[in-house]
Amino acid sequence: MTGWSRRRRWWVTGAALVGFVAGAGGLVTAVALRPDSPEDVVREYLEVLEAGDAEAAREYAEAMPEFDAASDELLVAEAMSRDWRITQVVRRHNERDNPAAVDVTITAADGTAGQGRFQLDRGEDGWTIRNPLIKLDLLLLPLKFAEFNGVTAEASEVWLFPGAYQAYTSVSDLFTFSPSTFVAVPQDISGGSLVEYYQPRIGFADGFDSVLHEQITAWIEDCAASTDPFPDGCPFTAGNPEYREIRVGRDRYLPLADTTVTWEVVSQPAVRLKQGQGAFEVLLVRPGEMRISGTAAEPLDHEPEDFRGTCTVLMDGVLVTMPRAGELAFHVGETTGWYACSGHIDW
Amino acid sequence: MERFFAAILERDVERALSYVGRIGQGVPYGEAAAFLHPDAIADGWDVLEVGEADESPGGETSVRVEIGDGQDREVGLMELTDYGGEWNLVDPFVTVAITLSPFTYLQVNDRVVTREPYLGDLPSSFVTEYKLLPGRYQFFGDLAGTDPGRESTQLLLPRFRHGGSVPVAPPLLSPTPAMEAALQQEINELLDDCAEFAVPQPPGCPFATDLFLGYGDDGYVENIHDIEWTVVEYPVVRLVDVEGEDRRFGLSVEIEDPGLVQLSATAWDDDLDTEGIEMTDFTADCAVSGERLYAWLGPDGTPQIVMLRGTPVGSGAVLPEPMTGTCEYEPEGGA
Repeated sequence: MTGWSRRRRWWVTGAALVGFVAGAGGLVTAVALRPDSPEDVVREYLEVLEAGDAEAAREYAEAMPEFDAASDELLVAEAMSRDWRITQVVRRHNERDNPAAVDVTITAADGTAGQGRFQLDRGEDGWTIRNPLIKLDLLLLPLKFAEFNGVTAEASEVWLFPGAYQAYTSVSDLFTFSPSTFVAVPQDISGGSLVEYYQPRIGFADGFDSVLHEQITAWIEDCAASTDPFPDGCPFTAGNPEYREIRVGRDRYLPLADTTVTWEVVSQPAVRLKQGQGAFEVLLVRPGEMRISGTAAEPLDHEPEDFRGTCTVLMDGVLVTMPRAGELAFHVGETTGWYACSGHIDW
Repeated sequence: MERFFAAILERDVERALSYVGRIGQGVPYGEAAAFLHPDAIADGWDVLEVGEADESPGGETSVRVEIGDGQDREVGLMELTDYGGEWNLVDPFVTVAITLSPFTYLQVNDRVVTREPYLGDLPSSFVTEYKLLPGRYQFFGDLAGTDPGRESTQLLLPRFRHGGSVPVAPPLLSPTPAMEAALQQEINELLDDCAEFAVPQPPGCPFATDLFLGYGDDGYVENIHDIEWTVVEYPVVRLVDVEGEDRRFGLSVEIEDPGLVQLSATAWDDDLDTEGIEMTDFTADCAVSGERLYAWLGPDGTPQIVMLRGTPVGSGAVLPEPMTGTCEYEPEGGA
C-alpha cells in the first residue's frame, strides 16, 4: 500500500533526523516531520525520482487504477536519468482544499523545461498523488518500439516517471529528434485522460541514406527471388492479384496452376522518406525497373505461351516503419504495384 | 485585487497566482501558461484605479479596474468570489489566441518561446491560446529585426463575462533586403534539390507537369517517363506579408520572375490529327509556382521555406492534392 510505504519511509527518515538533531542538543519530534501537505508529498516523490530509486517510485505508481493499461518496462532505475532538476514546486490555491494541485517544472540539463500538474486526494492515510506517472502514446511515431534513456520496450504505450529523457539514442546515427530532450511531466487528469502523445519532428542523420538504400535493395531482391507473379508484400506484381490476371505491356494472361515467373532487378528505385503519422511515407526520387518473364495463357486461349516485359517500381502506397533499432519494415498498400508491368506508368 | 496587481507589477508571478482560486478555470499550467513568466511582464504601466466591489443579481462580484501607460487607458471588470470568508480572483487572465503569425517563435514582451511552422497537417494539440496576466503587452518584439511601431503595444484586461480570446497577430511586416536575399538562396537550394527527382510531380516542389500534358489544340503527351528536370534559370522571389487566413501558414512567397525549369522526358505522343500514339522524346518549359510556397521567420529574421501539400481550404486545414502542372509543351515545328 503506497500510503503506508510512504509514511513508513518518512518515519525512518524522520527518526534518523531526530537522532541527529537530538544528538546536537535539539528537541524535535518525528510527528512534526510527517509530510502532511500536498507539496511535501510531491517533494518527497520528486526526491525519490531524483535519487533514481525506481522501487520506491513504483510504490506511488501502483496506487493508480490505470496502472495495468500500459507497459511498465521503463519504470526501472536504468531509464531514470539524473540530468534534470526541479525548478518549481508550488501548490495552487483551492477554496475547497481537497483535491490539491501542485505544479512542478522540470528542467533538463540542456535547458528544455516542462511544467506539469500533480493532482492529489486526501484520504485517511494522508495525501495520495493521483497522477504520479506519464502515460506516453507512441502510435504516431514511425518507430515501433519505445526507447527512452537507452531502455527499450516493445510497446506503443508506456508509463514514464517524471523526468528528462533522451529518446532513441540507439538510432542517433540514423535520426534526429526535435526537440531532442523529452521532459515528462504529469498532466491534469480532470478530463479523464492522462495519455500524452509523443510526436517529435524526426529528421534523418547522415547515416540514414545508406541504411535505407541497403534495406530497400535487400527487400526488392528478396521479392525478385519469388517465382510468384503476385509476390506477397512486394512493391511490384504482374497485375491485379485479386483477379489473378497478369498484365504485361498491353497483353493479358491468366496464370496456369503451375505458372512461375522470373523476376530480375534492372535498377533499384531511389527514394527518400518523410515522417508521417505512424509511419514514414516514401517519396519516390527515381523509379526502379524490373524484368519479368514466364509462361501463361491468354484469356481466350488456354495454350501456354512465353511472355516477357518490363516493370516499373514506383513504391506507390509503400509505408516504412522501424520495428527494432536499425531494422526497417516495408508495408505495401492495397493496390501497390498492380500496374507495374502494364507498360503504362501509373504515377 | 490591489495585492494581485501589486504582485504583477513587482513581477512576482507566483504571488499573483496565489490570489487565484480553483473556482472558475483555476490557474493554467503547461503550454498555455508559457507566458505567466516574469519576462512577459512589461514596465511602463500602472493601476490607475480599483473600484468598489459590485454584486450582480446573479451573485457574481466584480470590481472595476483601470490601468494605463501614460498614453492609453484600459478599463475592465474582474470577478471575485467569497468562499468561506476568503476572497479569490476568478479567471483574472487574458486569453490570447495567436494563430495568424508567420513566425517560428512567439514573443510576449521579453519572453520568447519557439515553435514549429504550421503546415496544416498537425494534430489538434497545436497550442494557439495562451493565458496572460493583465498588463501592457507587446507581441513579437521587434518583428525579426523590423520596426513594429508604437501601435504594437496594447493594454489588456480580462474579458469578464464576455469570454472568448483576444486575437493577436503581429502587425504586417516589411521584409528587409537581408530576408529577401536569404529567401532567394533558400529557394535556389530547394530547386536544385527538387531537380533530383525523376518523377512528374516532385514532392514538396514548386513545379510539376500534368500527367497528360496538352499541346496545340487537342494533342497531348502521356505516360511520361525517363524524366529529367534541369533548373535553367532560378526564379526571382520576394516575401509578401498579407492580411488574411493564409498568414497562419507563413509569409507568402511571390514569384516576380518565374524562372525556367526544363523537363526532358519520354512519353506517348497522342496526336489524334496525325499518326496516333507514338513514343517521343520531348522537352517542356516549366515555371516555378508560388501558390503553395510560404516562408516562416525565426527571431533572427532567417526565413524557412515550407511548401503546403495542398490548397488551404479555410480554418487552417489543407486538402492534400497533387500540384497543378506548371509546364508548357510546344513540339518543334508546331503542333
